[in-house]
Amino acid sequence: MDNLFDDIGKRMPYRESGEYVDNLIDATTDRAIQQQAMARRSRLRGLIAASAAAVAVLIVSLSISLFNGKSTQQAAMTGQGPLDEFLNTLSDEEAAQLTYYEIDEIPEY
Amino acid sequence: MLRGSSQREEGFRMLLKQYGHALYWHIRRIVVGHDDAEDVLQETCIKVLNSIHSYRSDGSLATWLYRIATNEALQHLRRQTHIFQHIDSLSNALVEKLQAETPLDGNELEVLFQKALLTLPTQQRIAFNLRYYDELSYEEIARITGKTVQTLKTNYHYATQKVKNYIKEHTDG
Repeated sequence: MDNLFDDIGKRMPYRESGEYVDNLIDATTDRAIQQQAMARRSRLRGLIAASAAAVAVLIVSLSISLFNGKSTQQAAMTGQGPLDEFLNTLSDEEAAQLTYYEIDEIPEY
Repeated sequence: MLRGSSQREEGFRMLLKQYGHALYWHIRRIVVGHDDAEDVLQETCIKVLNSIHSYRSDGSLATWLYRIATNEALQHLRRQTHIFQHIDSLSNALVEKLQAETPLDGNELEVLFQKALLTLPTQQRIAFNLRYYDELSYEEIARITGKTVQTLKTNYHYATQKVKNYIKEHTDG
């Protein structure tokens, strides 16, 4: 190291004593640890909230799809849907008419 | 050594006990104001604590800490600049801060020395401080600043000349 600025050395014109800086460092250390713990807790809380929301959405959507799927499936299997009920009311003749119905037969109004 | 949360905290405390002073004064020499230095030290501590698990023992711990502190201090200075303004243009503001923070009965030569340092470009000033005050090797300073050893040697030489000239100009008359 050069022998520079011998008169000045490493002294600096500031007021802060060594003890003051010691206390400052301790306080800064504590604050940093607290801040990190808070950030970790906040991240954990966010993660729990997001997971809970995802589970709730999954349960609701599963329930809806189960409920809807079951009723449609049941109706198809038992032939009890509204269309089946209508078709059951038709006579054989009407059913045949329905089968051979052509577009030209639409009456004009 | 620093895997668990409490172990990490303990290690962090030990680290700050050992390097806290050096880091505070290194930051203070860059940002000049005590309040600024305190803020930057806080940010540095948080960065260190958050990334301590990613520290690889193949490099020097002190160098790693100095690098984080330097980056945080430079970021702090950048936040004080206006758009398109370079941090080197802050030297007048830093001189004002220096004057506000030094006691009235403070040593004039010490103040003059600090003023001379504030005339240097920021990167040159940081390199000078790390060499002069912290007595780091050029290799260590290169790892902190990302400059080559040759550039740092040249910078240090020029910085020394500039500081000497400044002091001479302001003490001869």
